[in-house]
Amino acid sequence: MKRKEKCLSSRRRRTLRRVLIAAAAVLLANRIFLIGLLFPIQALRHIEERTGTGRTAVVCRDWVPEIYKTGLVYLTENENVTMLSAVRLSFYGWTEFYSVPVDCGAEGPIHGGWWSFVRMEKAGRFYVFGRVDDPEIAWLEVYFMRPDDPRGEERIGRVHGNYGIHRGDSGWMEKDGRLYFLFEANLVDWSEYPTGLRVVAVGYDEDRNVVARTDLEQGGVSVAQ
Amino acid sequence: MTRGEFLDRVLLPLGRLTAEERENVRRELEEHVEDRMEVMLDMGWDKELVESRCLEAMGDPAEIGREMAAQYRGTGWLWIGRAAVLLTVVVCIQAVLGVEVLFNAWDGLVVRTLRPQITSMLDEVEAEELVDLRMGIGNDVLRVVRVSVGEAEGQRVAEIAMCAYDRWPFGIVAHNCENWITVERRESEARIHGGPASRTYGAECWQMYALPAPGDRSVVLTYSRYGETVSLEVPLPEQGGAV
Amino acid sequence: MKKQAIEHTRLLALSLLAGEDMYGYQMIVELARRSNHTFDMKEGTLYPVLHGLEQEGFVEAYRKQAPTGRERKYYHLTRKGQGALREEKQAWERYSGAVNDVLRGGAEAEPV
Repeated sequence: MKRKEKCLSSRRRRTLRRVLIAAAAVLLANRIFLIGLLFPIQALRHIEERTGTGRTAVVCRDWVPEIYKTGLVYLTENENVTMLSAVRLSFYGWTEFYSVPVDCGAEGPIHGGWWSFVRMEKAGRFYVFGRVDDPEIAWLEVYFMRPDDPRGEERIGRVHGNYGIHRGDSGWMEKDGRLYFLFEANLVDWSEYPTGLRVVAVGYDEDRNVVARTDLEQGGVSVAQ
Repeated sequence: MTRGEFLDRVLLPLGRLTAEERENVRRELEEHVEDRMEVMLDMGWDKELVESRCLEAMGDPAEIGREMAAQYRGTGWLWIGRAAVLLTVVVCIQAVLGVEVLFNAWDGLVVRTLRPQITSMLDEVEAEELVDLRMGIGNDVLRVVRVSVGEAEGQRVAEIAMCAYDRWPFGIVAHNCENWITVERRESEARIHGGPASRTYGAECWQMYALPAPGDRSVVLTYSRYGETVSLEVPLPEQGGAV
Repeated sequence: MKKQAIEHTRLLALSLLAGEDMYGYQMIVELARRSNHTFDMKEGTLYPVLHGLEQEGFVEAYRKQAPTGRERKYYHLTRKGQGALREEKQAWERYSGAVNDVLRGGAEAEPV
């Protein structure tokens, strides 16, 4: 066909062309500019790259409107990593805004981390998460300690609730044959946390004997306007 | 009825067509009438009569318009197309506003293909060798570009200048890679302050220090993280190796 | 009846374009010539048919200078259109064959 001349397109062809151009633009923005991500999982892939964890699989996902209207928190894992990541939808598409990767490569009964987010001293979330590798552990309790306390044992927020989780609770999840936990600690006064808060997880067996005790990875406190 | 009136009547039911589609219909029908009139005029028809005869031959404009409108039912395509245009525009604006992100990609390209400039913190250089040693660490690549031996802060040290970049040319490098790299014979007293490490999403560059023992010909870098442990032997420069 | 007329116009348009790319007026002239002026259709009704074929992907359009020196909208039969033409041709042959059979049957029955 002699079509060196001006081609006229039907609706469908024009649409397909536009969709192809849009797809190319999005791909270019995603790959080169690292922006314009259309799906939250893509932002998670960026987090994996930035933290060097390699590909992780989603254990669970939580919507966190108190933090950002479009905020999503992911608990993801692979053989050597358990990670809590937060992403949100911004003008630049889905973007990451926090991540706590926990190296589970070394042997250990409990690997875990925590992350607290405060929005101008109002509401916030305090996540405690991790992986339990010791099959004896049936009950897990988390203690919050002030590092500046000489005894180092003061339990901040202990009075506000019992941060324990038992096998079978909704916060215990199984993925790829491994056990994960994620729960929220509803601490009351968000403004008084010392920056170097120590979080310790203690694992008990069915008879309430202490099986393991581990300092959870420093996750940090994020504060936003 | 004039040609203009005829075409207006055809276009009347075509409200759901885009302006471009309507213009195409108008132009095509107008061209048809034009062609026919020319032939009739060549055949010697009266100029006054030709147009009305041609329009008559075209048929009922309302019916043509109705039939034409029925052919353009794919409004779904139209909206998908509009959404695609909107997406393209938004992505272009994002790209323009976030153009500085391109420096990440540039950094990534420089450290993988060229020789990045990493400042030496040695006070006195005994021996220096430019090398190109690479090792995969996680999703990234560690590249050693220079090994020097010399004096720094009163100690004789080996300085290893290195960088990391993602395996994918425009990818993101893992941040603070050096935290998971250890240098054999990096003794606690070798607290040399490295130069400003450069960190972008595309590449990271930094120096590490070792205290070479007499007779050492190389030092070993070991990356250990997320269940992966890999090592790279870095030969020391000839002059400075054997002490 | 109107729908049938459109179907016939579709078949005729596809057949005309099977030979070469044409623009609307050229198709009308060619149709009149080939049918010995049998088809006396309203010329404007060809365009909705052509646009319908274009939307369905049976034909593609492009603008090119016609032998008259003016730019015209040419239609080109696509591969998909060639398939549609084959199918419509077969349907038409079945239909006209059946009509012929009926007519022939009627003629043969007459003497009995």
